[in-house]
Amino acid sequence: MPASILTRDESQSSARSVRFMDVVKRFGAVTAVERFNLTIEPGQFVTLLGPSGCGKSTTLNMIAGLELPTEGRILIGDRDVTAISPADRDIAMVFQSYALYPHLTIFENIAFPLRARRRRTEEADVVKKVKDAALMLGLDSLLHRFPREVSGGQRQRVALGRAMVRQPTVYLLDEPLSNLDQQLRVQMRSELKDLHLRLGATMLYVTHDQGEAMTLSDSIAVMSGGRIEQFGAPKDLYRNPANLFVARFLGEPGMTIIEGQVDNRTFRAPDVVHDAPSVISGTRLAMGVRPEDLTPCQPDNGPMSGIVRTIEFLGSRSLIRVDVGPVLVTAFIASEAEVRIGERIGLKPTTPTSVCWFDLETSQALPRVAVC
Amino acid sequence: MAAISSGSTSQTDLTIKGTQAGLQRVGTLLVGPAILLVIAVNVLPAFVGFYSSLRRIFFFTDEGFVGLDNFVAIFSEASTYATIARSFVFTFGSLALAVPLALLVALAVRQLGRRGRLFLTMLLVPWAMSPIVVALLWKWILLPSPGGLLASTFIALGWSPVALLTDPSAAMPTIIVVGVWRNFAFAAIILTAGLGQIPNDLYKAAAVDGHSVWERFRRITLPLLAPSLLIVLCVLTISYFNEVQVIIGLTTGGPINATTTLAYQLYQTGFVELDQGRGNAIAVVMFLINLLLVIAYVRLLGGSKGDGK
Amino acid sequence: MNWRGRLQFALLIIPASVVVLGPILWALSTSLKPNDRIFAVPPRLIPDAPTLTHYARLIAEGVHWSFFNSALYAVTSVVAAVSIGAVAGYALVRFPVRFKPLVLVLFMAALAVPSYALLLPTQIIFVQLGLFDTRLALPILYATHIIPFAVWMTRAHFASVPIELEHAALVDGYSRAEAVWKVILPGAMPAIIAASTFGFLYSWNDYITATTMVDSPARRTLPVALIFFQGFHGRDWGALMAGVIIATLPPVTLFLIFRRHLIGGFSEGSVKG
Repeated sequence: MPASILTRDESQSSARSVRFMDVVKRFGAVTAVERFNLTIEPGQFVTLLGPSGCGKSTTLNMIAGLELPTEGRILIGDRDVTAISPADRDIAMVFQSYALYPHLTIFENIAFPLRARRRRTEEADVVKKVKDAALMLGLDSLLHRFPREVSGGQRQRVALGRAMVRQPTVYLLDEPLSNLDQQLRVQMRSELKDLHLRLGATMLYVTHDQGEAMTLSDSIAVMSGGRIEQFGAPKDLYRNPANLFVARFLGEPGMTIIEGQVDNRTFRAPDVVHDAPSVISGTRLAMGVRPEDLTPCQPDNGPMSGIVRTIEFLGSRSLIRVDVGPVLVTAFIASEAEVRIGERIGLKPTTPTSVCWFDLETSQALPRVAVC
Repeated sequence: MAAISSGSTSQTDLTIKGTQAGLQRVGTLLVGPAILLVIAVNVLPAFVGFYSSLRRIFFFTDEGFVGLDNFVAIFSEASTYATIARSFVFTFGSLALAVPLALLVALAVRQLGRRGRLFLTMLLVPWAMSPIVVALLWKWILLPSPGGLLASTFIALGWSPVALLTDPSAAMPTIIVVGVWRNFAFAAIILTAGLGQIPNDLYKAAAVDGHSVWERFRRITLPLLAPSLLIVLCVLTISYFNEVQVIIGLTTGGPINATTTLAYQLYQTGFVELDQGRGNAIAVVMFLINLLLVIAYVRLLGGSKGDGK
Repeated sequence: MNWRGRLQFALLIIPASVVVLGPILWALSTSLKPNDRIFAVPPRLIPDAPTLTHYARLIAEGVHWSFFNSALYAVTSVVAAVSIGAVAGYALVRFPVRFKPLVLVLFMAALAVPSYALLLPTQIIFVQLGLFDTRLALPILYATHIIPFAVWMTRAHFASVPIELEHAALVDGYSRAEAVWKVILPGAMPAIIAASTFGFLYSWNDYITATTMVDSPARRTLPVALIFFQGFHGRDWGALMAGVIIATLPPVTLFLIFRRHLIGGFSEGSVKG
């Protein structure tokens, strides 16, 4: 447990922007990243979020210089770094496996980047910087130990310390928390957020955990199959998903998607009848609604009804799962509500605008008049 | 907005692609010396060997092309077949002794834990010695007159000393024993590693099912050890087939050619008598037999990896 | 350990020790006995009047020169082979190399087939090239025979190191070469030691290549010198056993010091390979 983090009086006006311009990465016949265009403003915490294999780690590696783009350019600040070696890019990286040097002590691990010949740091300066970073991360009593002798959480912090000690312009973090247990992960999340505020640096984060992304980020780029599905603030992505992929990916428990068809301004699906947005009759649509936007009602009084399958008591509220036709709909209800398993119950959206509509042919969201 | 300060897109693309090809160049450069040396010292002599076997060469003087005369000469002598037979006796006799011993040692090492490793280390000391030095040592021990350890012991016990190395029927078994003494522990390393791969739970399950120790050995240990056993058999077969230093040191092929294997014959013909054309012909024959043995074992190994699991 | 364990232990270990170490101890014993005691019956293990005359005799005959030659050839071959081999092993894991599967097969084949059958043509080639009986001949041959081992052992190790470690060093500001030198190499030490120890044993213990490639007394190795000595003084068993001990001490000592690396290298290699 680290002591309260001391304030660093470094002015971080050196934070830089990161830009991808038409970046493509191919491995032989496989395209890992496609027509990637992204601008990250200085000092922002941006997450690349997506399932395994979506290209997020490859993208991060390209900023680091560990992979070369097949086409396109990458800029850090106003410098074209596309073909520049990692050492010259003034970036720091925290790896999923921490990649600590096993034969060096923790002190030497953190000092390692400062001792690179190209940096020509004075030894006294090195010692001071390492000690400052160690103090900030609560590692000062462990400096003489080896990585194999300390816990996973502490190793994580050593990796962070090694990144911080050079005060780089951009931090790259590749799923740094995924090797920690749940409790530690949640704790480290808030510490990372804190660190970002204090350092004021540009941070690029990669994860498949949507909760993590939403807690930490200023902006999220949701990725799938090598392309960006949507880029924006967490709130925007959550409330206004641009397509089915983003809608399904964000939120825990996720958004319920019901597939059906519009018939004369009415959306119909098994056990579901709801007003449809204005589209041509016969269009196949998907209706998306989040569990917190549904309230129980009388079976005949709401747009959908079904049999309650399970009830999970969560303390402040309960989560019910209801079989509406072939779809298992999730909804939050008050923990005191009188609902029984096997009972037929109706559900209705709390407000009409809390429903999101998607065209089933294109998977894209329909444009909306008001915020969802 | 910041201005983009670099060359044209095409220039950057060239640099990117150039670096990719450059990586392959560097890689080839790093592996190059090793490849070149290995090819030079293995492939080149192979060609020269084949070439020379078709010529008449004495004392380093090339006397011309003779076609397959060398081979004909070798195979028309009755002694050649005896020599080849002796090679196989030596090779498979050594295997028959070395492999069970190595297996026993491997099993013991597994049982003994930490002491087992110490035991294995001790057994490996002969392997760390030079084969010719080992031969010299045993020549002294087996000396059939007072002084030789074996002989002196026999005399002290009232028996007459045994002349193992000069007895035509005892010489071959003796060199087999010395050869095995030297390197059976090496096979034990590989078998110990192989045994370590077998999960302990299998034995427990079999014990619960009521199998006896012998049955457990036959049904679990042997089949799962098969890949390691095959590696050991392959390595040892090649090693014993080509063994020459022990024979040079102990018996120089005698008594009366009782220990002249094909490997020794090559030494005698090519290096002592300096009949290099014929010596190379023998080398070609040995090379072919080596190749056949390797292929046979690779087939067997591939087969055992294919089925099961 | 219960009594049954102790019995098994005794039944197995004691005879094995006698059979394996006994001969070597006997050689040591013989080498320290004066000539009039060597042929005594019954044989005694511990000499009652130990003497160093045999060792002195060998030194007078110049055994230290052959000792020096053996050491020189062994050290140079190992240094050359392990450097070239480890670099190749690393390159095979981290770089795209053309015809990589073929290259791997080449090294495996070189490991499998022993060099003896090629010795005769090699000798002819060396004579033609003027390398016969030079100080270069044996190091070249030994090094080239050790290289496949070095490649095999180091490659297995490098393949087990995650590439993130190198990436971390690159991002930290080191060039690729510096990263390998400071981060990867220290971890590869066990594999390098295993390959080096094996290489030393191979070179030091070799007789057949040495005797066929090098003729003159000045360039001879220790095993060759011993056999020559035996040719002239075949009955001087005391001196011969002293020679055996001198020839055996360095490799066995090295083996005992680095046994874990060596055994480990072969165990792992046989399981993974």
